[in-house]
Amino acid sequence: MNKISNLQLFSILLLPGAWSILCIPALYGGGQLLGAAAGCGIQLLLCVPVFALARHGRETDFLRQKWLCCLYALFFILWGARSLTLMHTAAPRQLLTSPGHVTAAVLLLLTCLYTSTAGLKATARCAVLMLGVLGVTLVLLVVGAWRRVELSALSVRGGFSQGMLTYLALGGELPAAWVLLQHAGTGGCRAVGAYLLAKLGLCLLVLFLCITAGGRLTSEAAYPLFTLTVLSQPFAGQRADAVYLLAFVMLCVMQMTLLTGVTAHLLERTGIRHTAPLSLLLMLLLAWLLPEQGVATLTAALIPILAGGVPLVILMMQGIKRSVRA
Amino acid sequence: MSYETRPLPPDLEEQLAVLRQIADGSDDLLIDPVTVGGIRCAVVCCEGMLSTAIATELIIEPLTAIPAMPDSTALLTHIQTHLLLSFDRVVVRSYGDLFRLLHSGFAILLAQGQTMALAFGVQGYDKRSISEPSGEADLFGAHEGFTEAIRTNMSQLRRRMKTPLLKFELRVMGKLSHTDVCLCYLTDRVPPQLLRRIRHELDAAELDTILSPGYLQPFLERRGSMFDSVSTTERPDVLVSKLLEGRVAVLIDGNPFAIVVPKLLVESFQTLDDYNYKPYYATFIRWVKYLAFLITLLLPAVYTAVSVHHPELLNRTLLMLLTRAEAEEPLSLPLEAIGAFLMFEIIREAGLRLPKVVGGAVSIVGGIIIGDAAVASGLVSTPMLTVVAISVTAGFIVPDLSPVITVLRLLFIAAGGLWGLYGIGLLGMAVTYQLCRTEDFGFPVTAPLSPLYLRSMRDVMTRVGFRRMQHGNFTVEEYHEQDQ
Repeated sequence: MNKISNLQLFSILLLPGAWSILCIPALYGGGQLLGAAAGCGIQLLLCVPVFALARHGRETDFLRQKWLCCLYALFFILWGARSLTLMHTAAPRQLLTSPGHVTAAVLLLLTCLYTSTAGLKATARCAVLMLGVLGVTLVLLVVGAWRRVELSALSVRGGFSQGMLTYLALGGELPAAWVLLQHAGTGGCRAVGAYLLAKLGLCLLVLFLCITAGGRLTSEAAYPLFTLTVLSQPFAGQRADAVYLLAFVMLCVMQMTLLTGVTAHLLERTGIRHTAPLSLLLMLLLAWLLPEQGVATLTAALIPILAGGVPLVILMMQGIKRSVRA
Repeated sequence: MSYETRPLPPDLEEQLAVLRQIADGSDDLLIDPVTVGGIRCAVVCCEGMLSTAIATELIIEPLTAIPAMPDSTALLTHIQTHLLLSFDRVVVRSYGDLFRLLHSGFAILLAQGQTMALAFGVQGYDKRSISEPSGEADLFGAHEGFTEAIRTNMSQLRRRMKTPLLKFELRVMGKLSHTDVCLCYLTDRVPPQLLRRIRHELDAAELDTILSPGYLQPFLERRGSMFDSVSTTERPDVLVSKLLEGRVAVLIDGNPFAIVVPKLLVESFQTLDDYNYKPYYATFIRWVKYLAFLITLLLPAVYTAVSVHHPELLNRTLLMLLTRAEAEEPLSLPLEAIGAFLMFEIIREAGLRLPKVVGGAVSIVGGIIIGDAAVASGLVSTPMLTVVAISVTAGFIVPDLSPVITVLRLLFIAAGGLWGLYGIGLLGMAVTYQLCRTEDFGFPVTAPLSPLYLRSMRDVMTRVGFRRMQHGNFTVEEYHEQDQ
């Protein structure tokens, strides 16, 4: 595989994260903003072992073990299944009812099958272009919602712990960052750090707008941001929902492509063939078979283990080996 | 033995007999026996390929004035050392070279007792004079375009770049056509690995003939992408600007288009006029082009998708207008859109292929059919026709992407009609990936947008003045992505 630039690594991680934030499930109050910031702090702490490994150029040592590759691949398949389920439930709120659920899933999988065969380089280039689409969408969102902002609705009480847990559960792309680090040049860790901060900024912006501009409607909605996009329009006579819809679909494809690509890459190390279609099929199968809440809880529990726990154990083992040798 | 490698025999009669045998009685072969300096010789040429007046004045007259020579070796040595005759002089030793030069407009002098012949460049075939390029209009640019004669095209480049750093590398390609193909580049700007790989690809081509850039293009770009990674131009001034950025050009004898390698997507939105306007206006025009590209590609599809699947996204006035217009239509909106675009493509193709005098009439008839009869008969609604007209007109702004736009527009309409904005989003991603995977010799077509080169944004997002642009010595080598 080829090297990718730091900006590409940053974009490739931020866009799936942005999609998860667009589908943020609920609002719990102004404390959610602080909770998200605390969640980001924890994620930064989780990164410390990998950053420490990266100092010695050993950040991807854990991928030499086949069973660890399988474990990470399993996580990405579960995360993909969760994303498919989320798409299935969130799409109708976004007026994406046209194709029907089965057709929508088949179309999405076919597209992802094609995009995942394009390779990491194409995904990385595409991510930078999509960053522009995300930027335009956010500008429209801010322009549309700004007039409705009521700061009085912002209260720091309530929602801290829920906000933190929700934010931590949205970090499914963090383990993917370690897999991608081996393809990044020098400064890959800085790109990961920048991604964490940018994602926090995006989350804070979305939460702030949902709480202050959406009022009671967003606080009671299942997907607050979707409600906000319906409420706030940048122009009086025209609706900008088409842009949000397109961004929603495109970011979803980005996320699924990243997950498929990373899973396929890991499974290839174990000698399995046709890994991309296999990964997508497994994601679809798990999304269909497993209960939504179960998948969400399992992935949320696995994130800290895979993002920080496993690298920490490897770091400690390396330290022990060094001391024994000494 | 193939005639290509067959050596010239020493006997003049045998030389001519073999010549006639290979030419197989072709009527354009002219053989004039003549005695030069007391030695039996023959001047051979191809009818219509050389200028009779020049040949008489520069070749025949000086040859007949040569004093008596002891033998043919002395004669040829005398001609080579004492007579100028022509700047373009080649020694020929095989029939392959003889015929190649003969058919390129050279006069060949054969002499009794010699296994070599002398060829003199006295080309004088009729060719089109330099005229304004038909496909690349520019207000402020030179009104000169390339012609079919490769030497004329080389001279046009040389006139604009009077530096020894501009190098021309001629080669003969095409097993039957023996077409002259010329690689042009600036030695200090061109990435060496790009030049090496282009040479390698051209060497690997085993074509019978090369009639147009389309014959060589597949050898110079990656397979399986719908986006071009090499471009063509018929403007010498545009080509010079590309060469200055380290690109390589391929000129083909007999065709007025030069191939330029590599191509970037953003170049499709740049014209020479951009660099003649004030920066503020050039920037404005450039953004108009980007917008036009999105409109031509997506407007009909979004219109179809929103009208069919997401009418709630329309405001009340627009919704009522569309409902009224579409109520009487016998066809569904996607079919209506696809039909209108297909009709336009048919008329456009007919206008293009027919003789110019009739082509104009076809356009008028097509305009009447689409503009009036289709609406009056109720086959196409007025709003749809407006959308089609806007989309088609916007497409004219970026003619470079016309083939891609034509096909993708129909695909987007189909996706939007079948699956709404969801379908457009998915297809949009597939197309973006297709674009992002397109690269040529390690140069991604999406550069400098992705990978992002902020310094290059001064000629992409804006167009800064030459006071700022003159610094930096930009070459495309900056965009090369090395596989690691």
